[in-house]
Amino acid sequence: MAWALFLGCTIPVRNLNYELAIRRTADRLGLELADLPDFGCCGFPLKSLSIDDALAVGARNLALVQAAGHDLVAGCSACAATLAEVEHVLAHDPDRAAAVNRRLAEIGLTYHGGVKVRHYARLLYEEVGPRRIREAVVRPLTGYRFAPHYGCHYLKPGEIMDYFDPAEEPRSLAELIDCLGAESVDYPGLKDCCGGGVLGVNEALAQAMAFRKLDQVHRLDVTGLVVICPFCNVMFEGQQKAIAKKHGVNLKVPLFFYPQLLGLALGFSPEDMGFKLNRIKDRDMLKALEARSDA
Amino acid sequence: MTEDQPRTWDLDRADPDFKDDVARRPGAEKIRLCYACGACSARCPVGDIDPDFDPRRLIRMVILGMRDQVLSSPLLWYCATCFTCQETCPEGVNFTEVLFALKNMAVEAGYFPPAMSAQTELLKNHGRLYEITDFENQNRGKYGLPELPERPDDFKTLLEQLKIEPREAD
Amino acid sequence: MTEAKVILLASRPHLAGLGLDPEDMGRELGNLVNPGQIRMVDDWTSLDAGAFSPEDRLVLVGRSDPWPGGPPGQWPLNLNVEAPWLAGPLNERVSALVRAAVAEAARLETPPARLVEPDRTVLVWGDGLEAGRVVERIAKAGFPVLWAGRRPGNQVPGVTALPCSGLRAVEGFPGRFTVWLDDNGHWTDKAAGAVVLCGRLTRRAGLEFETGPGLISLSTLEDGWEREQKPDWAEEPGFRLVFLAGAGRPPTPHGLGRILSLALRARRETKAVVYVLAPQIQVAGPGLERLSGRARQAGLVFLRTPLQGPDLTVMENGRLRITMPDLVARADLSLTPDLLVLEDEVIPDPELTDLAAALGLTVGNDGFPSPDNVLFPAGTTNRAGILAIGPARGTDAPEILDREILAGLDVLQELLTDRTVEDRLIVDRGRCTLCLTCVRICPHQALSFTNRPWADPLACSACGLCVAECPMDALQLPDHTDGRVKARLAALLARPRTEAPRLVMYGCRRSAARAMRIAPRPDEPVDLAFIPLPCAGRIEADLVLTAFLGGADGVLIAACHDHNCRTQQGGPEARRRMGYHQDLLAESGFRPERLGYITLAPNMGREFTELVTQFHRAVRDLNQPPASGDPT
Repeated sequence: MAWALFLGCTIPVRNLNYELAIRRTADRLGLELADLPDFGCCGFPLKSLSIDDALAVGARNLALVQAAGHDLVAGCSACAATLAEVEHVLAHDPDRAAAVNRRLAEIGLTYHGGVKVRHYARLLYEEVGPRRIREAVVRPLTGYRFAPHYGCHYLKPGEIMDYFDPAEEPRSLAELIDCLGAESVDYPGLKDCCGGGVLGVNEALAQAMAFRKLDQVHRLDVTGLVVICPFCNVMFEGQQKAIAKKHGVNLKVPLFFYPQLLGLALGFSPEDMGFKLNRIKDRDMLKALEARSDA
Repeated sequence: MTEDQPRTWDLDRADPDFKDDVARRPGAEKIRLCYACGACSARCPVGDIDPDFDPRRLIRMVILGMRDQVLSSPLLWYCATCFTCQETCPEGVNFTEVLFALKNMAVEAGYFPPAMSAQTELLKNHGRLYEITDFENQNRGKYGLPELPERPDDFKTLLEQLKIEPREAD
Repeated sequence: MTEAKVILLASRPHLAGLGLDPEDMGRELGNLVNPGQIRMVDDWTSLDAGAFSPEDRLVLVGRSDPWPGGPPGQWPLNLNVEAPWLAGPLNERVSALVRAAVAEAARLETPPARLVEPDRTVLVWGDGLEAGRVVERIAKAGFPVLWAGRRPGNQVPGVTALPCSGLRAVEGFPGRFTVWLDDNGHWTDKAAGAVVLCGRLTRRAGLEFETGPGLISLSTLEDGWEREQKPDWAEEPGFRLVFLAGAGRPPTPHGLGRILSLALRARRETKAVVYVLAPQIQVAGPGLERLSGRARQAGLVFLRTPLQGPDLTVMENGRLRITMPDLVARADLSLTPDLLVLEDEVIPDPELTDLAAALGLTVGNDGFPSPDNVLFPAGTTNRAGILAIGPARGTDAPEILDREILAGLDVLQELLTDRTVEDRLIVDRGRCTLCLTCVRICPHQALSFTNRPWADPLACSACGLCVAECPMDALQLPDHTDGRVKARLAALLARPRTEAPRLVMYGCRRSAARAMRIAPRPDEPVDLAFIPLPCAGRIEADLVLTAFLGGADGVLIAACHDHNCRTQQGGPEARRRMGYHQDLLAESGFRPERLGYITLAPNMGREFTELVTQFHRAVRDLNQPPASGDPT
């Protein structure tokens, strides 16, 4: 029984650094990951068009996981939330579950319910835990401060996430950062949305939302912004230059995927954590960190 | 981003069944419970930037029966799905889900942004929003990551009935 | 008047705390009383109660409240509160205050007391469910009940049914009323200790429209539907049924409950589209929040109208059209109801209005005989012993009726209990000419006469209106005789003048005196002599003019706010007299602005200081001789 690694659409193509970091840190921490090649889109983009079709597409992934005897872990917050919601809906509505299974039967699959769906960060928080992580740290990130970005689909809707970390007063990422020896910084826009959900429909609106967060963070005394979702990464890193130009502010906020930070603390080199693929990074910090001897 | 609205809305011409049709959609069952407290609009991050995006007002338009104005509105597609409204609503209206239902109804009526049909084609043809060709797999190989196949057939089957057709100009 | 023994007890620490030398001050104060009647006290607890007899009057310098264990006649005097409001050297101020207290103490009146044994019978007038409920609860509380009405029930033990066509008069006083009932021309009298008016529920639709096609009152629709007949429009799809809360005011919780129940029924049993229009939806009633949630879930559309209601216009085809702004939609809405249902409100039954006039009951703004006064528990009227409950107050909600009954029972328990009471009015037979001005002017009908007027102690509220109006000065309140008030005034005005204009305040004990206790000190030296009175209604022209003749530059009358007066009419009457008093001043050659009128509540300390300071400045300006040389 392992955690089937669900990469979704974006990570395997656009965020190999995130994928590398997940795989290597999971391995180091004793989390067994499995690859299911038949995975496809989680269905999130379809929900606006047809809720039932999105449900069927998402259930297909869960059926594959169940057939392999695993549970599911995702690196993208939208995927994690979407698949968790599929599981939640099918568990509570037998009529819709029956309808979905009729459609899955057409492609030779069936889903009985009960697959656990977790975001990788939640897995680290609950299955491993900050204390064990701290014990595994060999290169504490002492002296570095980071601003966490929780995003919108990691903790919400609370009902679907079992309220494991309350969305109004979240702490899981702060604790995950602190246990690496670094310091997590609170700031007024901590819970703000990145705007990624509307990028395809209204670019100016999405950029305005991302700018609010970046503008705050770049005034903080932090090494960078820590994210756990490729959508958020697109808005904050991919769009950063365009946003900076549009709003006339010199932003320069380095972005980290949390597993990358975790990996550095566990002793991996920046290269192992895929930092070559980070477009906006603090090279000095990485150099200095690499120079720190293992404990 | 501003819509054209008539100065006075004639409720005699509204569709009183609209709110019930919306309430029949999964996730939107509680839309009628809204008592317009405004907590959703107060916290909406999109509304903060574009005041025309007003969740409470959209709900009111549904309750009043302004079917065409709601379904044809581009505002429906500006939701960032951040769920803040949903987590705040004292009546459990689940506005994010309501909007998904409204978007579904808009698509059925032929109203949707062009990006949507492009997305659907990608899914039908590749099973993902991004194509994974040999090029991508070679890149993955450089980093020691396993190859990924495409399995579009299942998607073709599942999405066979999904029709995204723009409305004919009246 | 008896000159009784006045003993002055002065606290050394209190005097020292003010910055005075206690021994010096003690000698000065000793001159104000008979030799040997002053004692300096270091610690109040060291006083021996046995050292005083019950007839002694004690003036306690340094206490805010009476000394426990002492005789009944005590005058506490807290110089920290009173002294800052006078001007001049401190020892002169203290002397004046103590002299005033001693003068008052010397003029204590002890009116005779007697035992009253009120009749515990309660007569309830009214018909219907509400009256039945009132009767039942009062009987259950142990009072014998007479139920007077058109169809009084007789099932309840302890209740005597008195069928009649009307209640015509209530004579006499609380505890011993004579109630006249009319049985189709045949009058009978019954004895009762108290009378409870309940009446009969009467409704009227709250708008100026005649009901016609397309327009109906809520009660009519309710009544029609009860007979299990669906309305004839039940099968019309899209029929627009619009409920409008009456007359541009929010529906009462009970009214809203009726509207929602009927609206839900319409949704269940007909094909109508249902709207509820109201300025507010208040769900402060049992089960209302849940009911309004069910209503919304059932598809009722709630719209919030402006406070005064939506715009209603009659169109050419005779139909009504509703337009109103909707702040949530950020647009104006227009709607043509197929049926507009108007919430009706409870109005005073014409019979009740006539009855109130016959009984001399003052009627509030809404036409019901209960005063718009926050100090009066629900149900009381201007006549003690006569209560108005339920429909007679405009109440139709059962849960509120229950609360009114409970409040009424409290009043009845207190009133109809055997006890000893003191006379509240002293009559000088030598002066009285039986002009009966007092009997006519009393707002509580508390006065009557045999060979002299007298005030019933259960009905009289000691407002002083009769005392102020008596043309012969034949009436006095025992605690505030003219002699006593003027003695205090004289004592306070007998100080040398200072630069500050000399002010006198006649203030209500309940509001002004208490506000003064918590008032911050004025920024500039003010010279205010404070004379407390039981009610502003006591203030007569004589008192105002005596103050001016005694050297006051300005006189300020401080009453309770109009709807807060303890006696209902005393304060408002004082306000009404202002014009007359100012005319007198003008005739006497004084500027009328030297007489001021303010209202206060007991907690308005800061306002007390502000208003006094304002008046002080105004009078000071009047005192400067203006360019024209006018000396008034």
